[in-house]
Amino acid sequence: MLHGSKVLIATADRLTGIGLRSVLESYFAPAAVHVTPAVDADRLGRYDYIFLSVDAYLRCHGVLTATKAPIIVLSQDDLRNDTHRYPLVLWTRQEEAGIIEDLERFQKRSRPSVHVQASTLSSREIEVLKLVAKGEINKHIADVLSISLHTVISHRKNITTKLGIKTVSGLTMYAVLNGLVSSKDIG
Amino acid sequence: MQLFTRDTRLADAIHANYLLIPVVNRFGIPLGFGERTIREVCRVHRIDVAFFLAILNVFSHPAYFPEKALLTFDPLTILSYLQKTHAYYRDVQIPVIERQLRQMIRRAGKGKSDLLVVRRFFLEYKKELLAHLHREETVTFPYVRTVHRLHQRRRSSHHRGKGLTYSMAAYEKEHNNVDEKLWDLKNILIKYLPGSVDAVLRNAMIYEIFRLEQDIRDHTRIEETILMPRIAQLERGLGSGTR
Repeated sequence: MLHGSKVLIATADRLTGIGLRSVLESYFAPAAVHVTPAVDADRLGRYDYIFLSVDAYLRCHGVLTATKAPIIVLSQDDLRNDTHRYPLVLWTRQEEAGIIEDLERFQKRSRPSVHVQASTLSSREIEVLKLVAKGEINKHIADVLSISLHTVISHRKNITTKLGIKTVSGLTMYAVLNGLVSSKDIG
Repeated sequence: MQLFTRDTRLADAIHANYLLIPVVNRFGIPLGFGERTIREVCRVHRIDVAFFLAILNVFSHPAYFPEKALLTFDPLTILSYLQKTHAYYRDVQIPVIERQLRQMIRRAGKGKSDLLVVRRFFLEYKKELLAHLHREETVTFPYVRTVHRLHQRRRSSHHRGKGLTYSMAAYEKEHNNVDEKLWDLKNILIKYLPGSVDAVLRNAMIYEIFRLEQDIRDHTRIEETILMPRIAQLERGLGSGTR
């Protein structure tokens, strides 16, 4: 996925397109980054990542829902808290470091392996794991999930057996790597 | 692999088990010893050959237990060896892994944030390992020296240092925790860190962790099968002493 990623940037704003291409080319390197003013709906399927201006996004919203690639909306305003309207928003008027940080965040959320790996754990086990990673004690986990202490302990035992990870810090590392918790949550 | 004897050529021992290289170095023996046997190399470097042999065999044969020799080793020789092992972890092996991780982070594109998570875990491990080594050096080792000194002076029993058995139980638990962390690190690098990081460095780091893990395991066996029984024996000598 990393090497040889195909990336589409669709924006009528030529300068934004070129600037972003240079950032993405080094970030996804080696990658084929294609910049276009208008989206060709038939060809969307070949891209691994699709970056779109708000205009382009609104225009071809319907086609996009069918693509598997992560859709990232480009915005000149900081819309990062506006996530209910757009799936992933990249604020283009920030320094390169900020853009890369956002890309990392998207990467976490859209990484396909998350589901494959996490599916070895039940959804309840994932809930428990998230709380363990945040440093919560068993008693509190039991309260939050309204289950008995005994059940929490048995979930934890199963998590350790399934993943082969024995320590709390190890579980935390697993949870962060799989995007189950953010590294900010673990203090 | 056969048990090594005094007449085994040291080079043959290393050909049989290359993990002995750093062990041999810890005794102050550099490579380049030609055709010399273990006995000859020990004579040149003024090393207790029975002890050296016991260490080589403990490291190479999981079931090896140096029973007869056990009762004669000088505790200070054992301590000096253990101390050098600690120094090797602290000054060589941990920094090597840390450097590999640093290089990996420097070269990382989009895998960087994952590696920062790994580094955070590694630094936590490192802190615990160093604290553990430090505690052994400031609590266990001085206790061993005290027992040894008392034994030599044949002092009476009420001068005994206290609580080796007690503290050993605590150490064992701590050992386990430190070992488990290392296992988790290895496991995460193998199974869960995404494939988007430098593969060569990642492999090298995993090899290094396997080696460290094995070395620590054998180090622990030396503490448990050579040092502790020897000290217990000296303690008994003090208990039933001159009175």
